Amino acid sequence: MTARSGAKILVIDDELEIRRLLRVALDAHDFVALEAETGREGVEKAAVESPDLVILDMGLPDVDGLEVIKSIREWSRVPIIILSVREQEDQKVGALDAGASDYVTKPFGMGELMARIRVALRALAPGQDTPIIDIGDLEMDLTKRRTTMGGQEVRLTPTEYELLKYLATNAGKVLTRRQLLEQVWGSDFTSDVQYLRVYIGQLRKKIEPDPSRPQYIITEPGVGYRLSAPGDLS
Amino acid sequence: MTVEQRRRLIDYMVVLALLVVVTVVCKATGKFFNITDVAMLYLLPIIYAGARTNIWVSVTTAIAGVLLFDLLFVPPLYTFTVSDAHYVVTFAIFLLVGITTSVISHRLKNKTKETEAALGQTSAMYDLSTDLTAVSHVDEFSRIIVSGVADAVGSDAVLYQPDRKYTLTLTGASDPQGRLATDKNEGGVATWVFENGREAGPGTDTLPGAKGIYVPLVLEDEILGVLGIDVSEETDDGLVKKKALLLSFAGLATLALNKLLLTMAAQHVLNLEESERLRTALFNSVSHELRTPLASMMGAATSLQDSEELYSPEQRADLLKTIEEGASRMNRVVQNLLDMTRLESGTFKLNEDWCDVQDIIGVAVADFPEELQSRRLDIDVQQDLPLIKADFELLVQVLVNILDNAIKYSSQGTDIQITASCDEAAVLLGVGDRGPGILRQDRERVFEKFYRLRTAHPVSGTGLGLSICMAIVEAHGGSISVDDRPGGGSMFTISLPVERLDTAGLMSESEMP
Repeated sequence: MTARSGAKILVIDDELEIRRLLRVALDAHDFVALEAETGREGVEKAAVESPDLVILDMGLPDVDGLEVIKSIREWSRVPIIILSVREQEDQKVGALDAGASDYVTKPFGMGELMARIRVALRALAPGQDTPIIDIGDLEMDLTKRRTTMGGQEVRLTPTEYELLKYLATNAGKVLTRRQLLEQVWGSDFTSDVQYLRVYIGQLRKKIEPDPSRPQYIITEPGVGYRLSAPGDLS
Repeated sequence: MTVEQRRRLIDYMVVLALLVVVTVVCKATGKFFNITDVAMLYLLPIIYAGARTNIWVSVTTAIAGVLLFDLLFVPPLYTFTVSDAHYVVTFAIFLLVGITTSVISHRLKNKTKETEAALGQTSAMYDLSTDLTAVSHVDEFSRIIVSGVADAVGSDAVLYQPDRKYTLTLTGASDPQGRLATDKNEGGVATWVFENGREAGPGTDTLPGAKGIYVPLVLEDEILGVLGIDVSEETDDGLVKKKALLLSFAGLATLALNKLLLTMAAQHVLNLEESERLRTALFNSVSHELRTPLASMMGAATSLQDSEELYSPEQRADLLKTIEEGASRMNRVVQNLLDMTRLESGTFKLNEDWCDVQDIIGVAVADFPEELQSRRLDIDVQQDLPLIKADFELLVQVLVNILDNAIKYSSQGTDIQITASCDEAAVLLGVGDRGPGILRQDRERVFEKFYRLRTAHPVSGTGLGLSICMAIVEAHGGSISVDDRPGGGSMFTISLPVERLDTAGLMSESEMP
């Protein structure tokens, strides 16, 4: 993978088991794991150690996870990946809109977390803006505004194209409904979820081999959508 | 002229007429009646007056009779002089008869009136007690008592009862805007009665200046409440009667209230028992459901830890898979528990927004990546399904639970079918499996909490899944049912109402060249 090995990752979680698990897994993937037990300690370490990425548990005992994100965002653009449970959709969306990069729901698979970390770190890497995006059989040529699936041209409407392009340039990263609506339709449409539902449905019909079991455009329930990263597709 | 005066006038006219008739008859028939007969005939109007009118009319009639008899029949005629002294006895008898008849009939009338009143009260109390037996709630009790007492007594009634903190509060008033209900001082009188267990108000030793009489509802050594009636416009006589009535109604109210409180206490115990029973069932099923995957996970993990070299890479992969599947299963159990707690908490709220049914299916199916590999999954979604307004995640949970059952109850290699279609009013979601099917008599019960099917091969589960599905679907105003699937197995159908959204306008743009 292209992620820099040796990247410093700060884990902010009050649960010892989770920290131990992450330390082992991160070590094994050649990352350097730093740990913080509380939100305050986490913000401090984020400032002192300048990690390359932060993994933040949303259920910290001392500070609200959202506050941690806001504190860090005041002076740093370090990617933040949230760990949360399924019941905290609103919190998740709030955290993403406040500047978190991505999230993983507990209980999570380690492969999933590592994929999120790689995507978040890659977004930082310079010089990766290419006019051609390749994800599995999907190819988007941004200069020619052409989309193909397995070499076959896919005819998209302008809105479908904008939507897919936004998803594709953020491949692997979750985009909230609000972010998608604002980017594609404009800031007046941020609560018109029906637009998104209809266009995502249309896009899936055009690019997914089986729209009922999508592989490219993945729904993140209660949050938004994510286009699979190249590594996610088997 | 009042009714009373008019009636008196009529009485006078009637007795006058009777006296005239007697006089005329006796005069006209000449010597047909001897003087004793005439005296007897004059007794008739007097007896009539005594029986039918009041004492003054009857005395007047007696005197008039005496005078007429004396004037017209007793010699010497046409004077009030009496030649024979023993006629004085006759006159005295006339008066005596008049007065006696009047007094006796008056007493009789009063007696009748009292009996009637007592009968009325008895029937009012009977009606009230009948009404009260049907009461199942304290609020209803208060309402019935005050309106019943107010009707029977003929004045406003109020009921006070102690609240949880043992503070006396007004719980019923026949006229909520009336003097008793609105006057703070009256509340103070009621509180005094509650605290001292003694009656107060006009006609009692305490606070006779109050507008109402208040009596405590005493049961053994407990005061259940205070009943009061407005007597601010009563005469002393009326006051005594109303107080007596109030006391009898208070007795009735005490008994009824006591019975109601006992019934409620018994119901509370039953409810506790029921919730205790449910909790035990939940506990048993959950601990079993959590412990089974835990056992397999623990076993697999310790195997890998203790003697790693014993296992081939394939076996190790199997053990690891066991751990992962056990964890997913536990996660699903926990999810259902959380959903159930949410649904039953009363604070549960649907997080509704526009949803694409195909998207819901996709997310639910993605929850079973491993399990569905061993089944043939056939998803058939009708083109151009409308969006539905629903709680996306809860509907995913519904499908996940039904799919989980479909997988658990059917064998590997069989097919599972998911369909989505719609008509004018509803979107229909179907999930079919090739399991053993569900007997007709069980088709409603499978949606009950903790109800589990008895199958040839025991299948694990909490018995919560389908009850949660039902609760979620019904919260959406939809319905869920199960039928035979043609060719064998079960077919679950979820019907969700459609709120039409015009999506045509959203899709008006054309594709790029």
